[in-house]
Amino acid sequence: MAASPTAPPTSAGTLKLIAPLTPPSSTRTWLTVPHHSLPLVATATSDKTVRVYSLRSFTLHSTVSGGHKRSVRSCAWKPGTKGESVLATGSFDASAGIWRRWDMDMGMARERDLTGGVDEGDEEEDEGWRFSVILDGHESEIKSVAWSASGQFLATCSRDKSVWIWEEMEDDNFETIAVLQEHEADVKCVAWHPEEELLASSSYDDTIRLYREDIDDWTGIAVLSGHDSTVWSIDFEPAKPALSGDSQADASDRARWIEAREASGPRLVSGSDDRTLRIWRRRPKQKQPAPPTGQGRIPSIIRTHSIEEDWYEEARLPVAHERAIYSVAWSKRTGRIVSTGGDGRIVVYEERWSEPKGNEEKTDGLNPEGTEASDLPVARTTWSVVASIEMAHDVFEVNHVTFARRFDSGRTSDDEEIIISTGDDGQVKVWTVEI
Amino acid sequence: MADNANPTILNAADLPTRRRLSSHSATGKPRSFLFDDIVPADYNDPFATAATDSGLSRSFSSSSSDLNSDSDELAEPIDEQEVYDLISTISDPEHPLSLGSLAVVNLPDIHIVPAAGSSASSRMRTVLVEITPTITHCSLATVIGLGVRVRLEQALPPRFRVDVRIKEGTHSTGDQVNKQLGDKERVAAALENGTLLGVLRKMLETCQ
Amino acid sequence: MSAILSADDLNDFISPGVACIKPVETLPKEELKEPNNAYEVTTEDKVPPPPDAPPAQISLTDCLACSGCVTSAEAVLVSLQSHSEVLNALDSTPSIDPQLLAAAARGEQQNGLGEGRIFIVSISPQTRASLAAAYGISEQQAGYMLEQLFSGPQGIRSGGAYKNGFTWVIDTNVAREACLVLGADEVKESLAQSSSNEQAQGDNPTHPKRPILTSACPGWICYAEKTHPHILPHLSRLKSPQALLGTLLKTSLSKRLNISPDRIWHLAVMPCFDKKLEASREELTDLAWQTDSQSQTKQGIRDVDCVITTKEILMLAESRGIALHDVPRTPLDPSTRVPFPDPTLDSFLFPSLDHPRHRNAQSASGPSGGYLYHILCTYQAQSPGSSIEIVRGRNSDVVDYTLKDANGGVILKTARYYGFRNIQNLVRRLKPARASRMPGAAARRLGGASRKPGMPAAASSASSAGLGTDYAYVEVMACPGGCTNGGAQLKPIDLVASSAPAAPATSNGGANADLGLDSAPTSGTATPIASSGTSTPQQQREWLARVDEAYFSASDDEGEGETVGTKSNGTAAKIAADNVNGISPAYIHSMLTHWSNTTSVPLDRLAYTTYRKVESDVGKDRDKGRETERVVELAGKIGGGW
Repeated sequence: MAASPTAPPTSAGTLKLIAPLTPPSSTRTWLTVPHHSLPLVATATSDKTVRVYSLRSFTLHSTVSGGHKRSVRSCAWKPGTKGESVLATGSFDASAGIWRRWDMDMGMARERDLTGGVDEGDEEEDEGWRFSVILDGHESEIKSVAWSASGQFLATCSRDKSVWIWEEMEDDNFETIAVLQEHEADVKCVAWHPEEELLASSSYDDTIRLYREDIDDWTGIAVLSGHDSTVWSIDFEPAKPALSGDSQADASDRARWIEAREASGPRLVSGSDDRTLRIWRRRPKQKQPAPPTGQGRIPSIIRTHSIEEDWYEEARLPVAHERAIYSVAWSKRTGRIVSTGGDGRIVVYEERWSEPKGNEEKTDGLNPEGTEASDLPVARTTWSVVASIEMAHDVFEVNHVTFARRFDSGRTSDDEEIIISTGDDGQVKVWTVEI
Repeated sequence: MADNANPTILNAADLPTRRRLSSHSATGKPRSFLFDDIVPADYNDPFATAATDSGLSRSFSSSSSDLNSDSDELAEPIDEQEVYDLISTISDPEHPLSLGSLAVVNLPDIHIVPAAGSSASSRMRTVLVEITPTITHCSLATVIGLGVRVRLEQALPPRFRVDVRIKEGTHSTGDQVNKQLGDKERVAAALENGTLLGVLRKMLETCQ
Repeated sequence: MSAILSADDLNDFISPGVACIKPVETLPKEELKEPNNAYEVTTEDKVPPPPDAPPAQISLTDCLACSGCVTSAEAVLVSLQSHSEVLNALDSTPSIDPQLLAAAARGEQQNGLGEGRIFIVSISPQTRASLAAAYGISEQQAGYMLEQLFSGPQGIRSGGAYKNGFTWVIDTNVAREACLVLGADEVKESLAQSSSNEQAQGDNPTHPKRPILTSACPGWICYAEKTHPHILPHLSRLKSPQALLGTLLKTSLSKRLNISPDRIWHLAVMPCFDKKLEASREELTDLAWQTDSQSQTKQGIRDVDCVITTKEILMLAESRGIALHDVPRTPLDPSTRVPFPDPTLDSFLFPSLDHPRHRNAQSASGPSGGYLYHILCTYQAQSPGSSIEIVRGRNSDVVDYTLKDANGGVILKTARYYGFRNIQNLVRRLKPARASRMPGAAARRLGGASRKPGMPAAASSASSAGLGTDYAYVEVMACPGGCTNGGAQLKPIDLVASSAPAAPATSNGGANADLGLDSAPTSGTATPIASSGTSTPQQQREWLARVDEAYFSASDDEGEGETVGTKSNGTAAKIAADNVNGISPAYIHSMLTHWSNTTSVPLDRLAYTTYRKVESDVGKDRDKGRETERVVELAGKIGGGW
């Protein structure tokens, strides 16, 4: 373990439970993902189903079942769909499934108990979910599935050490467009860049790998090494950085920081079995001097068109977990990060402007691995814990945590943010941050 | 493929136990084990009669948990001997012998520590079991370790975190085995693997 | 492109497919050294490789990105075919006196051939192309270099216990011509059959189902047999050029010279490690063609005794102390060549020098032998005015080739699918529609009750499974980029590594120049490619382009490569009359008939082969001991078992 033992984070804030989603599953729940527009979440459950809950009523909305033969480990809503919702599922049975449902069925009017049934005259249409396609090819358990921002690509990863990219060619026809075998072990998590067609995967082999399409071949473009154990979870920063907190920092310094951040693009956060959370940042490509011409038989073979990228560890978040970190998420609304893990804690972090000078030792924005100082912006930021809660799921481990928009009657604004946690106790809980 | 044809075998009478010998007779009916909702009646559990906890977590606990009652906080705490008794009767997957008699699990290699944290988590405990494979390249170390982990996760209350590791220096690839045994996702998937599950059942048949 | 895998990693690597132990009959007897290591085997008749031999490099991921593909048994088979095995064979027994062979060729059978073996090597054009790119020479020069290495006085003949070399060096392109003709025949016959009798199509095992899939790629075959048995009825039953040539040599020589096939030692040099697996197939031994019944009981003698790869050529030369770049790149004196003891086969195996090099020269035929292109040419020849329409798919390894008549009507729809990711999409389409693993949901899907309004049910129920294809033929190869990009072809990094000891004196950068990797002027010490340790995708592409260029340039050396040369045996008129894609089907057929007649073996048993589903034994055998064994196996895969 790289991180030293810690006392529980002493932070001003805490997480307040809004409600559990009911009824809970009687078996372990792995992960919960919010719908991109509707007040719904989907929970991957070890009883081979996905449970869809309403974020308005906090009750079960529908169940996606009858497909997988083993635990559903992961699921993801296809982004950008209108009128119909599309859910991808990844299972320990080595297959991924694509499921569809008309949004009128999802309708707000259906926020009732499930016994009410849908008056569609079609009982076989189990609560409106239609199985659409099975994607098979992986040889062992699928651990994670993720859609690209455009919804064009679906990535899946597995214990078979591979990451597959699927493309939806036309309705319901998916093609394998890449089989990436760069990892040396179990691939735990896949995540797409919010703007670019850049895929990241994290693994039992302690590394994170990035991929892009080069001509017509997807290929590895970077390896992020540093974690000392399994990297369970990764998530990209939202496209627009959101720094909060009052700043004493010089305004021009801040402007330069923001400019540098925009040059490198969204960062990546990773959470590991080594109990650390790390932020990774791309070093913007330098302008290449014009290559010498007319020399040699191999023209411009180096760098000029290289798609390889250089990512470095920019910062480590304060160590706040006692056991493996299973999940980390980066808020699209507030720029906060939330993490959880085997110790049952949920911890929320915030990036703030560092106090100018004189407070260097508090700065977590370390500069390891021989990064040249000149590459870094002058203004620094600090990540600190702003809220946390212990035993969020009683004595049970928490497998997943994510941010979502608040929809229930208690919300105070349209873009109020909630945190959703998913635990070994079969519970999905909805939290609000109180600072 | 037998790993060790002549393992050192300890006499059952010499093994440390708090149990009455009569309570684990070898002829006792094997009980179906994994994910079995029926709590066995024949286990002589000092805590079994304690009042049941009404917390939500109880309704979740579908596994048969011998000691699965959080009210034990108020009673005698679970100690290393208790843990030893739970796992020493697991059968070796290759030999018709228990892990206790093969000295794969040993009482001094079991440690229960309170989880670090605030008072809110004071109930939490971490059980560390270090197992000693019979030979340093035992190919079944991951299966034995899995059996121990599964046994304890089923039998101990959920406030116990179970860490099963290879005792240092007793296995050629100990670190790799430890990493695999510590991977909750892989353990969960292994329990959905019919072949492995069959072997685990057999190993745990001899546990009461 | 994925990492090179060394044999040491195999245990971990194969873990997902661990239960799938392919029953390989020709596996040498296993002798468990220690009960604890199931995979340690020794063979009775084989000298252990010298301790300083480099570990066998197995690059199966390069050929096929499938970890379930390689089993322990296969790993053993692969490791047994190495450059040191070649040297062992050469040192095991003297070569049969060429004078005696020459006499036999003239029909003067004297007092037998004495002791020893005949050593023959056949070389793939992709190997020549790879070496040509590496040394900056032409494909033809690379061919001469290999001829000198295997057969010439400065080659491996210069050392060893018996100073043995190879009596014949054969271009596998000659066998490929026969495969192309037979392949086109097979397509014509099976399409004719399927159109005349749709029902019986699946029942008749003599012809593959439509679409017919190329079966020359052993990585693809291995994967299909293990993972997609539903594909097997689609596979072309034709042997690969390597296998066909092996059968041709063993049958005709053993018959003609009246010797046992194990006295003929046939080495193949291939761009692909998986060709070693192919050579190990029971279907490709003398058991498939021997006529006397007693031979049925013994272990088969392989038609190809050993396969080494392009990479291993370097190791072979090195272990004989030969610097490959010093080997002459000029042809051996043709008068010194021992004639093959059958004039018809002699002219087939050794086309006269004025015969144009064979058709790997045309880029339209692709880098993998040109099966698809030859079929198209065959159909095109029968349809005056027709043209071939080429449409590139999602990536450069998926290409549709459609033969259209003058009016644009489709005559034949075919495609090329190279690489694992594309193969995935092909096999998924060919999967029976009912094979969905989501039964409850599948019923719903087929019901199609609530699909999008206005969308036909048939269209809406189409998923990527069971979509089917309307192709008549698909050329399938496991490697992206085809056979010139085979997993065992030279990579820039190999050259640098191996040239260093071979040419230590070239301090002036001569070694790099010699390898064709001219240093960029900006680079002081090493080539750009060499300096990076691993090459980038872009560098790999550029390298592959050079190999392809060498492969396709073969005819340019000849100048007017399009004219059909004259066969020395007077079949010129015939060739000119029915030339398809530079090959005369009539000539090939006459040669095949001659072969079948002189060996008294029906052509069906000589040129065709079979495939079988390789079943996982998990879940079948409920025997407890077996189960524990499997768990031991499962558990043994640290980091991968479960």
